[in-house]
Amino acid sequence: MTQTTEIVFMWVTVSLYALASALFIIGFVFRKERVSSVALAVTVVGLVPHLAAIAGRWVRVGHGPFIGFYEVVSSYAFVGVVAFCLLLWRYRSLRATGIVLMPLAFLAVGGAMLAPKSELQVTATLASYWLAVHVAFAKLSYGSFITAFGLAVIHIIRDRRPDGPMAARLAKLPPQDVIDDLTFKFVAAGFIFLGVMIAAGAIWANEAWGRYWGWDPIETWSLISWLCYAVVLHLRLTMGWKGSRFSWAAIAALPVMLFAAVGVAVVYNTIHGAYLTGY
Amino acid sequence: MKAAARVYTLLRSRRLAVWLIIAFIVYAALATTLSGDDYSRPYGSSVFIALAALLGASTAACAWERTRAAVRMRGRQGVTQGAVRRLREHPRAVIDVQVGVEDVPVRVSKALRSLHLRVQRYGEVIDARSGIGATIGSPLFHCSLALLFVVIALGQLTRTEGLMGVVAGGAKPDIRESYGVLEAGPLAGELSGRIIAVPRIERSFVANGVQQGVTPYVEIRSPDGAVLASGYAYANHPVRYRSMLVHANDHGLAAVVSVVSPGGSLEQEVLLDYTASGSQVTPNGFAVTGPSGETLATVLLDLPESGDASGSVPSVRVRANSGASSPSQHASIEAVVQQGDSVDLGQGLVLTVGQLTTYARLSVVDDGSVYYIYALFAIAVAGLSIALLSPPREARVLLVGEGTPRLHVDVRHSRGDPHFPARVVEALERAAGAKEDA
Repeated sequence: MTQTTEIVFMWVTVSLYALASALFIIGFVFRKERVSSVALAVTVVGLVPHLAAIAGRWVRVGHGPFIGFYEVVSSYAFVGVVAFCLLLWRYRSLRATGIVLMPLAFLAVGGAMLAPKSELQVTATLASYWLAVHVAFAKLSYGSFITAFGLAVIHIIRDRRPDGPMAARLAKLPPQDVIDDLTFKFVAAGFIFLGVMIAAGAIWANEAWGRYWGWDPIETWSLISWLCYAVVLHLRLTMGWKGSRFSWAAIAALPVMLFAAVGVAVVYNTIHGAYLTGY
Repeated sequence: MKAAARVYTLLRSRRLAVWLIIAFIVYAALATTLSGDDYSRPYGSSVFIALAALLGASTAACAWERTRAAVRMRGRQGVTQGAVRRLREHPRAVIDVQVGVEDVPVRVSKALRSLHLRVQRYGEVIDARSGIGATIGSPLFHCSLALLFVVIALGQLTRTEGLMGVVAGGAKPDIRESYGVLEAGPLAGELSGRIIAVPRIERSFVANGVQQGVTPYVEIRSPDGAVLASGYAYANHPVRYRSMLVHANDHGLAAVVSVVSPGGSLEQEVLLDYTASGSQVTPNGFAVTGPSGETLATVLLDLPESGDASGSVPSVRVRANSGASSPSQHASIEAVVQQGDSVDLGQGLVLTVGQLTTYARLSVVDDGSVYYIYALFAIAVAGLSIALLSPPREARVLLVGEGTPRLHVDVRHSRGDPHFPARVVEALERAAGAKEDA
């Protein structure tokens, strides 16, 4: 696939995600079930050119979507939308989460399209089996935490004003205890995935540099993210935090994780900066 | 003894565990932000070590508590009279039995087994619990974490890491004197004494389609010369033997020189680091001593200011002073010498540049804790996955009523999963004939 074809596919994806976002919002605001169903269908259709663009580039440049803002953010959006569709496959009534997740996916892919699309090659340091493991689990963990965040927001909205207009629009979602349990499960899964991501990175660092841990800012902030979610799980499992208190904890932890993923490379002088900013 | 008990009670506190993790988070965030570019420095401070030790002790206490709780849970046999009374008087669910009463125990047992529960009958109560795997998750995770603290600490205390320059075709023993830079933990013993050899250095090496640049071929040999491990050392591909890892850190230019004096001759390898500010694996100079140990001359070699030792006419700058005075600031003798040429250092000393070649700067790490850390982390992740995704579950069923038999059901899920009671009740309704099979 040529780069021109890839870019055409990506713009089709951006358009479909924008349309899906608009339809999810219209369906939510005007309580039109049918419009929400169409929005979901448009989302699934949007995954096709998105997958084609990622796969085509992968084959052409010879490596996965690991390097540079365009590749990294586009692939995060892809994994997020796939996770969203899988969630809806199991819990159809969670369609209302599309009003948050699809605009985010649209903004991510649209933002990626504005970034340079240089075809950076894998350097000798990056050429490792552990890179794939590290990145795959990073995407899984971030996807899980973002989903947990969305569920926690829904729980809070319904809990604060059970009779309010927003709660009425979210009435078709599963009961609060199920939302609460799902939030916990996504936090738990993300915690495991993040642990594996950190371990894979440590093994990779040992292979590359002879040390598994060097307190580089992104290593430290990944550990901080993991510990923040450890606190969230501790609060739930050993101190009995449930419902809104747990939801607030899950919401509070996400900015830390996002900072570790995106902010550290901008704020600190780190050897990991290249993955996001290119090199 | 009372004091020890109080300390243990404090350490096992769940609240303390949470606050210690928060303290660790705050310390790490501040340390990384305020430490400038030397990010690892704050983690050698006594405050951090004390905090980590406290967190480790808290984790160990939690691990012990959870292990005891798991053992208690596994050892629990039978159903107490109180539990039977609660089941009779305050069941979580009541299901009408629509099948023959004599079939109920078998059908209920089968239904509970279909939920991956182990079923036992205690008198009139059918008790079903998750298997042993569900109870070991949390203890396994916390024990592994506690051991990780110990193993990581031991690793830091005993590991050695250093930079060693080895000229192409040369070898050096793994002893302290061979390293230009060596960091050794306070409990690190003698180095291995193995020989690190570099038989050749490739100018351009491609592995798996990726250009690796200048790449040394490294051999790790036993002290008696037997090759223990060998291979090209490049990024993500160290040469390893047991806990020893040899990475190619960099490369540079080296000179093999000889100095002939009236008393004999000396051959010396000098590594010519190509940046003045770069870390040198060994000083790029040497002293020539006389028969009684007095310093006859001090010699410094580096690259000419305009020139290239690897160019068409390889050359090196020689600076020297008689006696022990360093020639780095002021040299009484300074000359640019080509490969094979000599320079007179005075006092009957003649320096000959025998060969200008390449050396590999090797990072040699010996850390026996690494594989144990990997294994413990894998166990911890397995334990965590079990603890979070397959926690202890229990269901109890009591058949009551003569004329209109009913099942009294109690369900417990240690994580409070709202789906589990519904799944149990649904399975039991099918077993009791109160609900049609799907």
